[in-house]
Amino acid sequence: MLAVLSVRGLGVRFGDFQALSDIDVSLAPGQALAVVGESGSGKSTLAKAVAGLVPASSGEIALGGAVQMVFQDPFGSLNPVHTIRHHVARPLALHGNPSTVEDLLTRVGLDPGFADKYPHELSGGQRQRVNIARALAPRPKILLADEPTSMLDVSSRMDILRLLKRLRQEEGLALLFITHDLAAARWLCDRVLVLYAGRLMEEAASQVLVTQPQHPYTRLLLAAAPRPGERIDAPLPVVDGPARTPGCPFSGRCPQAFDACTQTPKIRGDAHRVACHLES
Amino acid sequence: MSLLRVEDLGVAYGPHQAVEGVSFTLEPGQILGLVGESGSGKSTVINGMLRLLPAPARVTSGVVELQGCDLLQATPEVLQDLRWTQVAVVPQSALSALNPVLTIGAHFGDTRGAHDPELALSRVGLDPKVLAQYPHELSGGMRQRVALALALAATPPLIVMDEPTTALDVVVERDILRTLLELQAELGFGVLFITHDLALLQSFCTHIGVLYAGHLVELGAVEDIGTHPYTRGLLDAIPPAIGEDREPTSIPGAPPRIDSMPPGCRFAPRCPLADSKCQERPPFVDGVACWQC
Repeated sequence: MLAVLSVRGLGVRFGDFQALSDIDVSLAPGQALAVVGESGSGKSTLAKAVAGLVPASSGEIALGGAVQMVFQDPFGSLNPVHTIRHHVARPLALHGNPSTVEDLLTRVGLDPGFADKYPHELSGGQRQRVNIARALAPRPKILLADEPTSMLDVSSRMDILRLLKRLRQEEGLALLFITHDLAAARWLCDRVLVLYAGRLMEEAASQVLVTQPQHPYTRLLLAAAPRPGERIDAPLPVVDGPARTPGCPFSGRCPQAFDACTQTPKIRGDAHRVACHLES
Repeated sequence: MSLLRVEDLGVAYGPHQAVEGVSFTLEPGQILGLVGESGSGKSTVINGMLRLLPAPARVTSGVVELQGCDLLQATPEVLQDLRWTQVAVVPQSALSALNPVLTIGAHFGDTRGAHDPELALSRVGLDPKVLAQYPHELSGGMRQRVALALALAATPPLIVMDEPTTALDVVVERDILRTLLELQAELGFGVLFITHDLALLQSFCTHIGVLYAGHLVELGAVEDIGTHPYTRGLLDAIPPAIGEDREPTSIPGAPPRIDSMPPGCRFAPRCPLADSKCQERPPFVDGVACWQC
C-alpha cells in the first residue's frame, strides 16, 4: 500500500548538535511504528520533525495526509479554564469538520456528557482521551503519539493503548508511537525502531526485535526491562564510557566494540535493519 | 524490636481521610516496596510518618516507631537529631531537591553527619570531582546518585526512597538499583521504597505492600503477593516486554476521589469479585484485606 509517511535520510541539527542523522521511516495506512530510545536519543525530535515543529537540516519528509500529535502530559496539554467542549470544538471548526464534539468523544470511548466538564474533573486517562479526540478533529491520516501513556497510572495505560490500536485497526490511522516502554511498543506496534544518539541502531517487526535482537544496544534495552520474578542481580551488558562517540555512537558503552566501530556502520538488511559492524 | 513499626497510621487533608489504618513493619536488611497509583496515598504515608507534611494535612491516628522511638510524639529537637542520622529520604526529583546555586560539596556541608563526602560519593560510583560541580552540570542519573550519597552519608539504618528512579531511563534505573542493593548488602540498612511500578518492585524488593485509595490492601514477601484482586489486576495490566505474548487486561473504572470514598472496601466498585459483604471494610488477615480471598 502507498505510504502515508515517507522519511528519507532525515537529519536535524540544533546549532552544532546533530540530534538526528540519516533516518528512514515509512508508514502505510493502519501501520504502527514504535520509536524506542533513552532520553536524548532523538525520538521526540523525530516526531517533531515529522509534525513540522522543528526544521529538517537534511533529507526529506513526504506526507500523504494531515498529521496530528498527542503529547505526553495530559495535565499540561489542556487549558484549565476551558471546558472539554471548547478544546474539541475549536479544531473541528478550524478544519471545517462537520462532526460534533459528542461524536468525537464517543469515538475515543468517552461519554458525551464529558463535553461540559473541565479538565480538573477528569482522570489522567480521560484527559488523554480528550487529547486524542482533539487530535482526530482535523481528520489526520497519521497520529504522532509522544509517550502518551508514560504519565498515566498502570491501570489506565492499557485503555489508551487499546484505543490507539482500535483507531489504527478500524479507522486505518497510521501511528508513530514514541516511547521508552518496549512492552507497550511490542503490544501496540507492528514494527519497532531503536534509536541511539540520533541514529538508527535496529528496526524490525516487534516480535522479531524482542526475540532475536541483533544490535548490542537493543540487547541492553531488553536486559534492562524489568521482568516479574527475575531479580536484577545480573550486571547489564554495558561498559562505562562516553554516551556518544564518533563512528558508531554506542561504541563507547558497547561491550563488543572493536576497531571498526570508530567508523559509522552502514545500515544493512531490509525487513530487519541493523547498523552494527558485528556479523550477525 | 523492628527497625520501623507503623501501626494504624491515618492522615487527613482537611476533612478528607487520605490514608487510613496503614500498618507494617520493616526489619533491618529488608527492602519493603510500597506500590500504588497516583492518589493512593503512598507519598502521604511516608511523609506523614516522617512528619514532613505541612497543614492542612494532619496525622489523625497511629504509632510510628523508628528503633523504638515514636516519631509522631517526638519533639522537633528529637526529630532533628534523627533526620539524616537515623532516617534519610531520597526524593523523586534530585533536580528539584538539590539547590541549583550550591555545589554538590556545599550540599554535603549542609547535611547532618556527612563527615566524609568523598567516601559517600565513591560508594555510589561517583568521582569526588563532582564535589566542585553544580547540579545542572550532572546528568539525571548522576544527580540521583548524589541524592543517594547524601542520604547514605551518615549511614542511617533506614532509607526512604520516594520514586527515586521514575524520571530515569531504564538502563540508568537498573544501574542505580544495583548500586543500592550492593550498598545495602554491605551496610545493612533497611529500605522503604515507593513507586507505581509493581514489576520493578518485584525485581529487587524483599517485601511488597499494595496501597489502594489510602488503604493497605495487601502486604507480604515478594514471592507471596498477588492474592488481592487489585494486586492481581495490577499484575495483569502490564504487557510483558519479553517472553510469552500475554494479552493484558485492564482494571475497569478509576480510583475514587478523596472526597467521595466508597464505604467498606474501597476497591469494591471496580472489583470483579465484590458482593454485599464488601460494603464493610475487610479485616487484614494473612497479609490481605479482602472478604473474597
